[in-house]
Amino acid sequence: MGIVKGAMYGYNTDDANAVASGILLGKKGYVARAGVTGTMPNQVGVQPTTTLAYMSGGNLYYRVPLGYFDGSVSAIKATPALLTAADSNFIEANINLNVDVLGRTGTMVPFKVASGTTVSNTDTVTYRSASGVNSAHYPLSVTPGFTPDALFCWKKINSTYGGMFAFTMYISGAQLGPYAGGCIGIYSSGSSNGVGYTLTSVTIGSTCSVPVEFGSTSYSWMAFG
Amino acid sequence: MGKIIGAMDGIGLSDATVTAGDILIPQTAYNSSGIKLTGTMPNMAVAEPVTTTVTKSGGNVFMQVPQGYYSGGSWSDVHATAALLTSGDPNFVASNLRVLTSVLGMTGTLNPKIVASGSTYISNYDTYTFVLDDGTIADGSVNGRPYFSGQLVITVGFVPKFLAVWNASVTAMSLYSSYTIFGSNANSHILGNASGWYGVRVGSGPAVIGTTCVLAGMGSSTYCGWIAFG
Repeated sequence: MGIVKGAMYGYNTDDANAVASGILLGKKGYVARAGVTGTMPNQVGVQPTTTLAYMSGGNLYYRVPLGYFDGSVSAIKATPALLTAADSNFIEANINLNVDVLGRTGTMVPFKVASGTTVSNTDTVTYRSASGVNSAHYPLSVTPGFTPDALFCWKKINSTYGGMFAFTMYISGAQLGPYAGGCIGIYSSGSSNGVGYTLTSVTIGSTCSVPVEFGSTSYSWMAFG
Repeated sequence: MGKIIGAMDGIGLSDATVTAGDILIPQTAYNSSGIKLTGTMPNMAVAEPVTTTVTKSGGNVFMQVPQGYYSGGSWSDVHATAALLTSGDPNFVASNLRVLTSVLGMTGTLNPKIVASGSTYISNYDTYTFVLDDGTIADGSVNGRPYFSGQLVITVGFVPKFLAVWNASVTAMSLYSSYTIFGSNANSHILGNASGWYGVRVGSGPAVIGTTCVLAGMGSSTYCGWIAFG
């Protein structure tokens, strides 16, 4: 109620220019001798969901609904589906396995590589070959931090022909195809050349123990998984 | 303050509730005290607003909207940089995203695990000219010098980072690694043979690393198993 009949005084509001959509919903002011009640939606605390998102210039843009946001408790919700609509690469297959990234949990199995050097044991352990033959070798303990599909340990013996190496290789049984069965091959001099060992005394896990030819010797290793 | 005028022309303002912050810049209106207010509410339809904070909750992303009026149209779309998304979710980093793939403004560095395995048959008994790392031609022409029987041709289907080949009895194997674990030559690989030299490095020659690989063989007329990681 703006007009006051019979009053001794009143206000001239002719020089104001606000429109209803320029005033927050429910708030009332006077413009040009008339009360104007705001119609601008108040989004404070509403937490609306954005309905449109897209990529431009390497940034994520999202549509903000009509209304007033106060900058403190006015957040827009973007669902994973909407983010994928903005960028079709935002899918589980592009995200690291079991990692939640912005609401999507990855399914991409990563390729893992670890490497290092370690010194073999002083004392030998008896290993049993695939053919049932026992032989003594020095255990080498390495810690890839994951269970490898392939593990490779080597030591340069001399520089003949540019380099000759003794090495041990493990390939997981699941990956051996027609020649299945976890194996360890030792390449070095002597009778143990190229022997497929069973997993007796061999440990494969985030920490591995495999046989090598030389004791108390530094070996390089690399694991793949 | 609005001018006080005669009762017949003026109006009462007592029921006004508006404040300057309720009015869009630069619109004006009078409050209950007769004061002319100029709006202070920012008009984000003429800005390039950037999200101030990002949070993750309940499987959704919440992006803070800067204070002001939004028209609901494209002129007031808000954007969030990749760095800001990371601040809201520390898991949104390159190391969690597929290599060379741009995801919401972040290019991934994580290599997927690609594995292939199978068997190959060495039918060719010819001696191929592989060269050892010191330049020695491994043709067996000199007594005691290494030589290689046949060559391994393996169709991997991708360029492997690691390739291992072994015979059925695991008495000979040929190994390649892109990590130059045995040296710096790009296509160098190791061949070991129970009856010969331990692991001798093949420095060059017809070795090829690609979707189809060619390595020095360790025998002939025999099947070999292989595995490759990409």
